[in-house]
Amino acid sequence: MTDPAGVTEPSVTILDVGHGLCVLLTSEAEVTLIDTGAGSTVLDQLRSLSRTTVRRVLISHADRDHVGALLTLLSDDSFEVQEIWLNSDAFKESALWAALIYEIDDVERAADTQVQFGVRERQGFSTGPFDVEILAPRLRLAGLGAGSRDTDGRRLETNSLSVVARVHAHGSPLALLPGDIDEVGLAHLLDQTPAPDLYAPILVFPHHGGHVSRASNASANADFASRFVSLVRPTTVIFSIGRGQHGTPRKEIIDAIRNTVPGINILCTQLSMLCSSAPVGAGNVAHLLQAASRGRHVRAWCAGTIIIDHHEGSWRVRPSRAFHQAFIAANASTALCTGQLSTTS
Amino acid sequence: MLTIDSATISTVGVIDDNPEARQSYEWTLQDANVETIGEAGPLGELQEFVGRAVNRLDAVLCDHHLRIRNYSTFDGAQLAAALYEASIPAVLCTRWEDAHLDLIRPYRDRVPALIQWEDLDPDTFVDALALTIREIKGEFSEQRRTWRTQVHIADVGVDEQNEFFYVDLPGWTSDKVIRLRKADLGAELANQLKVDARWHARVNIGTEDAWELYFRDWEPR
Amino acid sequence: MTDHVVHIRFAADVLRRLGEELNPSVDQGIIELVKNAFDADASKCTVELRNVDTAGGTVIVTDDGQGMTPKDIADGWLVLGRSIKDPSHRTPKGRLPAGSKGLGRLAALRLGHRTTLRTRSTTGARTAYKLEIDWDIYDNVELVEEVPLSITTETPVRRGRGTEIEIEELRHRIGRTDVTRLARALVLLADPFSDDASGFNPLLLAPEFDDLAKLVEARYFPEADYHLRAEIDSDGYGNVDVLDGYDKLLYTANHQEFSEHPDSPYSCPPARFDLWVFILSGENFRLRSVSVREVQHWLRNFGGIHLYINGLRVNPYGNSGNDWLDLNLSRVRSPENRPGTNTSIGRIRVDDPQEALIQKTDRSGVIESEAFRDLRNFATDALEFMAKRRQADAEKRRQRERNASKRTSERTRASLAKAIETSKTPDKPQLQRAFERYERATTHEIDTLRQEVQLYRTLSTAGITAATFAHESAGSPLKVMSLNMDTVERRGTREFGTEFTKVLGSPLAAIRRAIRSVGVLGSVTLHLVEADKRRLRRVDLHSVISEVVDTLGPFFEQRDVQVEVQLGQGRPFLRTSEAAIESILTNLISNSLIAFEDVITDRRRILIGTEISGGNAVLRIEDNGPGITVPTVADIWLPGYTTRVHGTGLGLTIVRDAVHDIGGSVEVLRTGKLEGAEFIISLPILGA
Repeated sequence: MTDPAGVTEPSVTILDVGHGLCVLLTSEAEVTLIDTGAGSTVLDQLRSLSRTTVRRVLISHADRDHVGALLTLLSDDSFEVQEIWLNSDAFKESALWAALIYEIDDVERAADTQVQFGVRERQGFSTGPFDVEILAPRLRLAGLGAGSRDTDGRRLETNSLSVVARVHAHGSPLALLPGDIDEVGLAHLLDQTPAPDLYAPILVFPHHGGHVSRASNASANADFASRFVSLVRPTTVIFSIGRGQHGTPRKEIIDAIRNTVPGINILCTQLSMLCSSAPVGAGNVAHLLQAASRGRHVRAWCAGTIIIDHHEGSWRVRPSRAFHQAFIAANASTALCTGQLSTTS
Repeated sequence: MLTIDSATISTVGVIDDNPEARQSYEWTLQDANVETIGEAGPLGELQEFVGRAVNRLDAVLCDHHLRIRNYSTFDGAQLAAALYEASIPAVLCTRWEDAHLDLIRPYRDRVPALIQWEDLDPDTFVDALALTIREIKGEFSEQRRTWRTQVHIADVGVDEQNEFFYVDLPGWTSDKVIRLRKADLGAELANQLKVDARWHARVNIGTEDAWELYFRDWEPR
Repeated sequence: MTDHVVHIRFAADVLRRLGEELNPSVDQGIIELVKNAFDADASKCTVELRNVDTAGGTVIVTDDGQGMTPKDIADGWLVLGRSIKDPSHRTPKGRLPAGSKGLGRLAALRLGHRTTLRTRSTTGARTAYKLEIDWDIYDNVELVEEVPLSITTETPVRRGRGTEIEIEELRHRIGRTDVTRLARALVLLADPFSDDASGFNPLLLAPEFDDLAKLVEARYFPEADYHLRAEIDSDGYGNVDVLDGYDKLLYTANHQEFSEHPDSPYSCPPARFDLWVFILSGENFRLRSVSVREVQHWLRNFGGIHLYINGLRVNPYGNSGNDWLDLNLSRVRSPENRPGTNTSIGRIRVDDPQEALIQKTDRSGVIESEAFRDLRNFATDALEFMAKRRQADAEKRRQRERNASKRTSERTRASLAKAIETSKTPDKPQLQRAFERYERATTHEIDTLRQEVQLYRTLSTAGITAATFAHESAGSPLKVMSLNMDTVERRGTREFGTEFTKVLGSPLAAIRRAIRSVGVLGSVTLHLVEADKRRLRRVDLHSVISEVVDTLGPFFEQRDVQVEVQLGQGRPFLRTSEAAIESILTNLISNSLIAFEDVITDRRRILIGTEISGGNAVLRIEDNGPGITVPTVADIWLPGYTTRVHGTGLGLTIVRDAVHDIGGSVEVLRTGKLEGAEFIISLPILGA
């Protein structure tokens, strides 16, 4: 079944929200959001899909660019949010957190919204054909909270407590959404017997392909990247980035991924400054999907909003590799994903 | 003559207090295939002028600073807003100076298109006009549609003249603080302003530019 | 008729009488040994103290002077109490000998139980002569001449000529106070204040000395508010100049005009009196690059008026607590116009080949002769002259202030003055004095403020004019130009195709660029005066830097300057106004842009970088221009100081004031990493 936005349901949509993240799990019956980005992109998308009810919003961590739009979803009368799953965290962006909490409080009283704090491993839910398995944060991390230290003396940042969600479709793993998890969070995730299975054909790379943590350097980033893709073994890696923001995705991360899994399919929502210093030519839209996309208005798109839908028995990623590569050939002379950027260091 | 959606635009009025500037605007618009009428001043009363514009002008391009010469008692933003209310699409032209954007912002709900004259050419004019025509019909672009969202009052009256209050929008993509005039709220609302209060308003948080933000339907707390 | 030939003889005890009893101070004794080195034409003289914090320690005085032959030792060094035969006889280096009778030396040598002299003279450099004196022996004999002393030879331990005196087994400890006094005396011994070195450098191996030596180098003379310079010529006639801190003449007088006895000369040898007077108040130093405290510390250690006769300092003149010219006494009468020993530093230098000024045997000063009295009168006459002139000036200024002040305050003042005048209280004189003091203080305050206001008024006027007319220029003409430029290009390409762009593309592009630049000045100016920017709030340092660099972009283009911004990790913020940060950045950048005008550089570069260090953000602005080439770096911060023909001289002052107001600090490197000037600003941040 197709709907006006050109998307076949059920689908997993990685929305182009610039630097941030917003994933929609859409099925005929309901829509669930994992992170919402900031601004109005997810609102525009929901409106165009005529989806005024959001079954559930799962928040990976309380960063503005992951949770900002939740606030408007709650305050704007044209939407109804039935459930919110998030972890309390005033550590990194306390002003934003306060704003959000006040809004949630209002809505919880006025409407029937269920709010669940304490999101952690071994929880999960189903939405349409998707089963979402929550792999992190661990109980001990969730309990300690951001700002405290683990037994190895490592500081727990907001990113360390990021929710890691694995989306299964029809019983098989489909996509891994690790939020902005960093090395500390990953270490805790892996510190169990047996080691958790992180396999998924599609990976949305953590932290927009930026520095893994504040103190990271290029080699630490590359290390993390190759370890991560070795654990997840995806065939497609997606970066949800904002053009010109924070220098993402970092070249060493892309290189490490391409070295670890040669031939892997890499897509970024927006066009990194490293891939092309000039903005996109206005007419280069053949590959873009009919979906809300923040990069559209400012000519910053690469793959744009990415949709994973079911077609003829299998899950496909759109825009397709062919379309995407055609766009890159014409518009991104120094594209990182195809290694056209000079490799001299 | 232009056709935008189902609207036909053949005559565009050009409003600027400087005759040379008017002429320059006219030349630019003529290259977009419309006929232009430079409005010689003085313009007279606002509503009278709007009344005379209806049925005479299909669209208007007006500059914001109209009061320097003996031309008008109202600004371009006021005029554009009044024309909008009369369903005449008007494009406002000015130069980015934050001091003036303050004064223009309260009209922005009725002035969809604001261009810098540096950026004005036949194409951008047509785009701006199209945006305005659609909005008059009720079709809002993502950058112009308002959403009810939380407005955090960051500061009140800390400026020398106690004219301003400052807000930030937690739901927006930027944490930039925006300066607004107390006068634009009206006395009743302005008196309720308190630092750190969380109000709501309809704001076009789909825009990336702080100077494009406009606010309506204030709900104090 | 001769019956017995007898001689006057000296009991061994006399050594003690003439030595330590006559010259009790340890430091003065050692200074005498150092003076001997001076007389021996030494350039270096080192005093080493070993284990002197308890008794039994050692003092070693080493010099590289002429050294002594056995004859010199026998007929000179060992002969005590002899005056110099010919005081005008100069040493080969031209020094007038310090004229020691040797009694001070005796005291020094007797500081310990044993003394060893080693010396190598020019005429016998391959042989060293050694003389050992064991003072304990003298305690066991009756008469001085009963103790034979022998000069032995040895191969020299050191190269070259010179003398080394080692005093062992000190009878007492030499405490810290003594060491400090000794250090100070040594530092001051050979006039450290003049620029012509006497070529004599005494050195004490002790940290106290190093600190003081460094401090005396500080030379805060330009910070002085007045420099008194008076001279007596060879005929005894004087003249006096009073200069400002930069040695620009303020007042001047000849002998008749300032001497108390205008018709008679001073009967003392030619002398030169220099005195630097400081006004040590917070406000006076507010606009300077050194602090009151630094200068006070310096003055506390070296202040006062020192006396140098024949190149060496004479004790105790200028010692801490010594006020031989009664500065402090005079100051009580009029503190505003007179220097005190804590607020001034200077010296009187006398060339005295005829020994008109004779030092007392116990080294407690110069004998009160007519010459010395006249020398003192000369100095006090000069001081009096300066005080009178300063007073006259102050009065004139106060009069001006009074005339300038508003009617109401004048009336209020008059009524207060009248009330005090007509009051019958016995405290009336105190009240009147208190009122006068108050008035002086207030007018002084107003004066300082007025100066600053004038400073900023000058600048504001320029800014206001630019801002006012910027509105005009940002308006119509630019608009007309810009719109029509586009129209010309559009219609041209439409009508004439690619030929048009080929022929006219470049000139049109040039016009377009020019239009942009003109437009920028207007908007930059308006941008800067926005009231919002003056509001105190959380300011994101990195965004302001980016914005400023962005705004000034066209100016960089025009001047061919490449600006690189390297921002550290994090987003440092502080509570201040945007205007403050902008004024710091804009002024420093302007400074660089202007500096480039003076040189040819291949690639003009400005580098702006930040890094977080502790609770501070360190902002660096460096360029590859000519660097700071003015002789005194500290001068660049002074208001009105400019090397540019039509410069305002205010930019860097504003930078410094703005930085200090924020609670930060700024320093400058003449030549930084990029070979041009480098400004380093440290700002306290609230977070990052």
